[in-house]
Amino acid sequence: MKWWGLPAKIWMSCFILLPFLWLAVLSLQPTPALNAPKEIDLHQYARALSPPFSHIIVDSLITSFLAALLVLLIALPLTWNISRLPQKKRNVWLALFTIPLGLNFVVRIYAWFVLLRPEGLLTKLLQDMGLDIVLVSSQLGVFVGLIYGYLPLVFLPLYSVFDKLNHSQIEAAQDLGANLLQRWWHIILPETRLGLMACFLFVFVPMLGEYLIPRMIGGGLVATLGTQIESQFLGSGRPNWPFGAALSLCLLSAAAAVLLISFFLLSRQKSERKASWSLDL
Amino acid sequence: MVTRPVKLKSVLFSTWSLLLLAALYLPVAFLVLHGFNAGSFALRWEGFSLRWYASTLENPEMLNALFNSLMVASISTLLAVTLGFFYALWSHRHSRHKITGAADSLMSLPLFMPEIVISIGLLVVVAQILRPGAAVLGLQLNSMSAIILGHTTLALGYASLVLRNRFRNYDVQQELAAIDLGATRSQVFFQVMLPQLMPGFAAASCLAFAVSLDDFYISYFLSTGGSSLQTLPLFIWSLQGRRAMTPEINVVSSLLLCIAVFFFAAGLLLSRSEPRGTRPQRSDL
Repeated sequence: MKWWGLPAKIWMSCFILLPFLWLAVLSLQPTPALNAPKEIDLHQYARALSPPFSHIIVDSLITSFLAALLVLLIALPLTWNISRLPQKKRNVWLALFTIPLGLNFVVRIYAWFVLLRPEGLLTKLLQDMGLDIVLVSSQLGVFVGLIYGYLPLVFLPLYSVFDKLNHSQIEAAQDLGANLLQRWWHIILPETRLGLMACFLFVFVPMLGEYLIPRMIGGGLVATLGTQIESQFLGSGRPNWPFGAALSLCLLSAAAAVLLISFFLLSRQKSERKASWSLDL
Repeated sequence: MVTRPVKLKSVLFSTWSLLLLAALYLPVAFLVLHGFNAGSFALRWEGFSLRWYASTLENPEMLNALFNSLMVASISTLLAVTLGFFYALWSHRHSRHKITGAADSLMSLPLFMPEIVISIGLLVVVAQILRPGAAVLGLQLNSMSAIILGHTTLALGYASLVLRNRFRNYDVQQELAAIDLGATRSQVFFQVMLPQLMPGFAAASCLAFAVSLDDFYISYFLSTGGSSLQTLPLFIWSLQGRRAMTPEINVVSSLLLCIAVFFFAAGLLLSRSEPRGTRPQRSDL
């Protein structure tokens, strides 16, 4: 019984931790040659953090940040309302919004891409309304694609945040005449801020490394961190694994930095009751 | 209570949710519909026909990709659920130890790490450690096994999470009662524990299967390493890259959607349902 957990732990260490360490070692190699490293330096990181790659990293950070924020803002009022519904209705609505998560990601993005094409329905609709915008092969298209692709991911975690909220305080505030804005600002947001942050990160981190959406909707013309990493490993040009490894470590550290900064900022305002958050499936 | 603001609120809620539902479902519905297109182009509707279904179901490339997808998903589900089950059992029994928390975080790492980093990490390890290592032993690690390794890792993250949640409302009393009544260890395991955990098992399997079917990144990065291997999502990806898209891509997508949604929905339903005892308990008798 004591050792029953061991196989799974060994498996995870071999295929999650070891790859991570190996990437870190690989990123210290100065040359793209695949044989054993002879010397170690930070050349790859220097290259990753200088133009044009630094611009791509910053662009990806900004795009993912805004897209994740929008995803949260779109889903928030809806999930809040669902969490206030009677149990039976709640399950139906929740199921309706969760099922798209089971629709294959590639298929979902392809379906969206079809609508965004110049001859697609959505583009035509927008043109009829007098808006002439290009959604394929553009930064804007990738941005819209990110929101569309990651929206279904956020409903369940967000719901579990609101589900754990203690409503007596909100009702008390309402009775005492607090309006909607005051209730949110003074009670709901402070209570749920850690959970909301976790939801934000839950979509922000994968968005940062997104490859499929910029590749399909961006048509290979929009450079993001994800497409850069991919091209260093599988690109048609000369692959450069150490550089790709350095880029992916930059990705991870950017994600970790955002995580640390946000939790630092949020937990500074001391509160007795911290809303706990766990991924609820 | 004043009725007007409430009404306005519910109208806003329904409008917003209908808009979102339309945005989430309509593109996919449109895609599925175009699988029944009679014309030769994926994007121009020329009337209803089952022509593309007939030709796609006979396409050896598609059948190969379907077979690969199902094969990879089955093996990695089996591996992930077995590993996850024993892990969850261990985690449940040692829930008060400090190390269990760290181990739990390790097991849920695949859920929080960007998939592209998991994939290239696996690619690097497979290409630089596992392939040379296997070659020393005179073995060959093909793309299929590499992809199975990757999918198992991802699925293990989900499976152990679901199973761990299940164990939380596991009833130890039944087990103790069985031991008091003279049940042997194996009897306890097979007749008390397993039946109680069956829904969790089913949920974890369905989710693991769905995760494996859905995966694009790991297959994409690992399939090019050795002999290239196609799974259904990769096949759709390659069809999308071709210049002339026929409704075939819609048909393949619809097929994948049908299989994946079934497993995903089943997994979700089972993981949220209430656990049942080993035997129907009639308290009113």
